[in-house]
Amino acid sequence: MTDRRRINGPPEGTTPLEFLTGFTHQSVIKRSPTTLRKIFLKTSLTPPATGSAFLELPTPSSPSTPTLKLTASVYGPRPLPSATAFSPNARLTAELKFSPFSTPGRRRGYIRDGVERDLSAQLSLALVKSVDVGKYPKSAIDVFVSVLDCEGGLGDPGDGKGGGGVEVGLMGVLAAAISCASAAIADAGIECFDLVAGGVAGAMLERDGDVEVGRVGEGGDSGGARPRGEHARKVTLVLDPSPAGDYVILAAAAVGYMAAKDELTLVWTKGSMSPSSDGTEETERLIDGAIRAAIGVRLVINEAIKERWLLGLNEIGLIKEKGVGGDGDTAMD
Amino acid sequence: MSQDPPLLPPLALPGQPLAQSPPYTAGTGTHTQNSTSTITASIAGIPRAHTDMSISVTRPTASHPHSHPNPNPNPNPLLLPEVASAVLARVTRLNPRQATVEIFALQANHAGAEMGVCEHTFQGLIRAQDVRATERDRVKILDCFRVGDVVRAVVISLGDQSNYYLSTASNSLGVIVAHSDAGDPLHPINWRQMACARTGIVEERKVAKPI
Repeated sequence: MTDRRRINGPPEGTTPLEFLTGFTHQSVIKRSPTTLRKIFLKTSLTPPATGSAFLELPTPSSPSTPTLKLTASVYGPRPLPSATAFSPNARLTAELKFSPFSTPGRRRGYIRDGVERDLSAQLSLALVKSVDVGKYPKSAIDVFVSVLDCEGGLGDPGDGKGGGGVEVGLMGVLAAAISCASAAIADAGIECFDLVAGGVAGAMLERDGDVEVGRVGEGGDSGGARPRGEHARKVTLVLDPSPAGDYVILAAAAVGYMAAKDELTLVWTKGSMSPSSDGTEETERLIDGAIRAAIGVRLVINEAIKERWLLGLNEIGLIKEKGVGGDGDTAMD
Repeated sequence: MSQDPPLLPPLALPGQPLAQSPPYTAGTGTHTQNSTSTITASIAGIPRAHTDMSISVTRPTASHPHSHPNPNPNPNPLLLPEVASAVLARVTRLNPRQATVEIFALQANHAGAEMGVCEHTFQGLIRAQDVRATERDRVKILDCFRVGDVVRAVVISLGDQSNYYLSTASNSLGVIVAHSDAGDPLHPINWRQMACARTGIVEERKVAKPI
């Protein structure tokens, strides 16, 4: 499928420039499996939008660190196009788009593909439960998420890392998109019941040459791999798994979680569970891990919104509360 | 605003519980969570307890705290017409049964709200039977409005898929700014006529009572 209306690059025939530091050769900083990576989140960066946010994960330590970068912008509530039927609620649409340069090593097409359509549908599903759509009759709220850089591959055929396991790149993108879009909605001042934060957890099998499907082990608060039975070597729960990490993920779960209401708006699991049991226990453990990750992300969203607020209050010279930011400071684990 | 019995945080975030519902009521920017009947913030803003036991969350300015200079005087992207809100609208199209207008400013119908400029215009409709309160079956739309007039009106219904239904059936509602065929500004002389100061020509309008 080629796009005839735009100027496309040559389909083949050029050799890509090779730089000395490739993303694959970057050493990933070791962290304990239950530690989340540091998140950079800032709101109100797209001036024409009603609300917007930018998210980067992890906060890069050097310019060549592979990171996940995405922006979300919220437009609306604006009048529905006149052709659409009357609706007493706001119509929330979410669209997730990968930039052509977002995937390392391979350019993406401009036309919306199945992956984008799928992620867009899941994103709008995760967000619509949080927004108070009844407050905005006959209007549309449009959320646009644009992925600028996905740190690793997305599990496309061709950028294969080999070694089996499931690809968590897309889950990471979706979770980050949910968090970023929710921050943008809050920035827009659209009334919502709660903010949604995305979290991912995976069952990790450390890559030691011997990949086999084991049981999902105890999620370690201890943080280490905990052997469990003969066939369950080195399977441990990892929060916020990185697709660039040097480990194999056997199964993973991504959730959209509203922390204040304690409700899930989205659950996405993939991977294979142990053949002996029905996998309910493992799935629950994975989802619990993803919720723990989402709670950590929620603290970051709260801080980003507070930070923007203090800035706004400063600008209009309205700052009068002395301790606005002081008591709300939360530390990321 | 006087007493502050519920310990409100200096800054509320969406989903943050603020107070219990039985003594207090949910004001603007808040909602009541059904399961626990807790008043919860819906937007990020400064929570306030009012003397009528309502709790509201407000953003400090009506406009968005963007740092870039805004061309329009603070268009508020979150203003939506609701039933009973007062609006300012410009007449765009006339036919014998109705006048089509575009709403460009409106006043939300909660206490203390000010007229605000909308970021997007909304299409509205003034049907002939909604123009005035008396003799409503003898209304001739062309004797009440002309294209380009600015009308003060009230929303009576969210209407159909594309229009809000407006009414000017009150003394204070009707045309507030109008120009003659020659383009001169008109001033009201009675509730149904406006005159031009330069030429003295008199045109028919449904005139709003000057404040």
